[in-house]
Amino acid sequence: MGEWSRSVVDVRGYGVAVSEAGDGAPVLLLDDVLGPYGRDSFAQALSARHRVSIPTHPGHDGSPLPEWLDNVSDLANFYLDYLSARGLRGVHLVGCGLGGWIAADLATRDSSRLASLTLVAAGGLRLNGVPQCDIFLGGDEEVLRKIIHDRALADRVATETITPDTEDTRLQNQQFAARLMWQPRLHDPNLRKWLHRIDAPTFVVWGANDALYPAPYGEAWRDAIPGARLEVIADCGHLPRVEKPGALAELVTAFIAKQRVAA
Amino acid sequence: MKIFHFHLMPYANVNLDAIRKAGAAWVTLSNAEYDPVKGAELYNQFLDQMEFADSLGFEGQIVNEHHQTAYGLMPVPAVMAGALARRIKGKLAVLGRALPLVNNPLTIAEEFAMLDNITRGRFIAGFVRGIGAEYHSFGVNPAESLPRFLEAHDLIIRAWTEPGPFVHEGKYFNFKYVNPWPTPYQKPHPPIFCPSSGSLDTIRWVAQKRYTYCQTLAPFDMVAKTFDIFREEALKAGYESSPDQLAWSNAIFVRETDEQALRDVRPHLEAYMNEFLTRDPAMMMPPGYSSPASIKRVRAMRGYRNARQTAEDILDKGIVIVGSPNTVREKLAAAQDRAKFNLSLTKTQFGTMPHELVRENQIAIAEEILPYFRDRAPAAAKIAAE
Repeated sequence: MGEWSRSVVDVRGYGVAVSEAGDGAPVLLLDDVLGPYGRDSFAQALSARHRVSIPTHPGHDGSPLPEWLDNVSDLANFYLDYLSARGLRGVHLVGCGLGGWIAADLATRDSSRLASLTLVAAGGLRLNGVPQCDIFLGGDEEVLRKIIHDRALADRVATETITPDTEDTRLQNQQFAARLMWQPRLHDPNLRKWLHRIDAPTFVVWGANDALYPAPYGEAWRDAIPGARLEVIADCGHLPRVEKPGALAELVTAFIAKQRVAA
Repeated sequence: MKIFHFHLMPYANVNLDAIRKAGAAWVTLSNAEYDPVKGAELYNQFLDQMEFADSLGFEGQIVNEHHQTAYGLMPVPAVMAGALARRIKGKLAVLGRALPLVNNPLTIAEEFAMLDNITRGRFIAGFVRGIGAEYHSFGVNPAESLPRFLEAHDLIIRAWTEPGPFVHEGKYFNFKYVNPWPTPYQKPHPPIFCPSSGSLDTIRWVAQKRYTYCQTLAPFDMVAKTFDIFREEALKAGYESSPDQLAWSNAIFVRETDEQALRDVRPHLEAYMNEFLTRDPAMMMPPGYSSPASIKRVRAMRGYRNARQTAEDILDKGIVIVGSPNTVREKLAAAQDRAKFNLSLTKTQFGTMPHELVRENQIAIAEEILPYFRDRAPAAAKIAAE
């Protein structure tokens, strides 16, 4: 398992910071924007067999806000440009939360560079009548307690990540989340009608106790994307990467391995 | 000093326990708590209070806009302004309309122009961003608040000053025909006041535009600092600002003695600060509403609300002025000299304060305070000394 390297990739004039590690088939991991982020044990496990790249979303986590960023589709197009700029093909695209939303939107536009698509607790859809918690009301700690299922883990994550020196980043990240998800709340009303266009083997992973996008959302994604498979992780909320990194890594690694055999 | 009379029109009959249980008087406090029979009585009392204040010689009457809250019952301030427009002799101000919350800012250009015409130019226009809680209640994206405000403002001013019809091509608003009737009575347009809780972006912008900046409720140290920043920003914009561009939004309560004043004001003031106002930062400063620097500044200013406040705490911080006529005169004069402002936006009713007590307070202010300040300006010696 190699070291994580950090570089800046120029995408049509925007320098996007990318962390990378490992060797093998390319995995592009699009992060969630809520709660803790970065190189965690899930990404580490994936990098044992793959070349894992984790970009910092433009406007998120200390990166400058580009003038063109108004909605999630802007990021979907941006990451298509990123794949072109790096000449990547056969990419296993993995997206968590908002990252899953970007990944799905990207795949409806152009799946030709993708070997597979994995959506973990992805945003972007709305199921009428399924209540969702409010991530914009309440303090940082309260929000973590809403989206992480295990209370003790939520408290531990809060203690580790909510510190005075992260205040600027947290404010920026909340602003980023609001910009993209406040209205329409947590979804894109136009996304669902084009999901049939996704032309890559798709794997949907959901936390059984997700309070932000409850379990029926996982089923809705599975049903909307041709051939998609759904796996539900027990005792897990909206952040499987944080809550069940080992189980998630096993599921995703097995799914990607199967694509390689099939190819 | 020009002392205006400012009414928030709170639901003064609210069940304070219901607010404590809901956690705030905003967004999530159920409107099942509102009783229209009591509300009707309040609306009429409040309008009586404003007409009475006008007859007592306050500079003008101020209403404002808040949504989905017991804090203020004026979601449509033009209704109250319309009810007052032909009943009062002094100025009439709507401070203000929340520009980013509307989908068509031209309705505000129309509404304000009507009020300016009916009052034959006694109208003052207020533009605000809207309080953070309203972005939760209205679903408007707080990350778009500032650019929506700026575009709406520019459109309204243009609609007031440039003959129509013209085309507006913006990011948030697009109109093929901009041609509102009527146009304002005052030329080029009514005076513009901008209330703010102290966001740096807003202070700078108001100074650059040479409008009047109104500081909402805050400890007086912070008010004075904010006015200093305003003067600095005006200098950076190439001019020396006037004390008439600075307004302090406060509350005044006068009784015969300090002791009596404190005793009588206590329940109403404590309800106002602890129940009607919310202490929830996520509710009041949603993400993107201001730059991170401004959010941190306003959070610090609001730090005083982190714990329950007693009437003594509130008075010590100079958030409001309460006491005998002599005490109130001294404190207001000291505040004016220190922060060098010339406008006071004064609430005589706040929180749960009942009608009779408000009337007595208004009479006391009219008799004991207004005459003393009528021709009073900030002490010039202090300006020279600094």
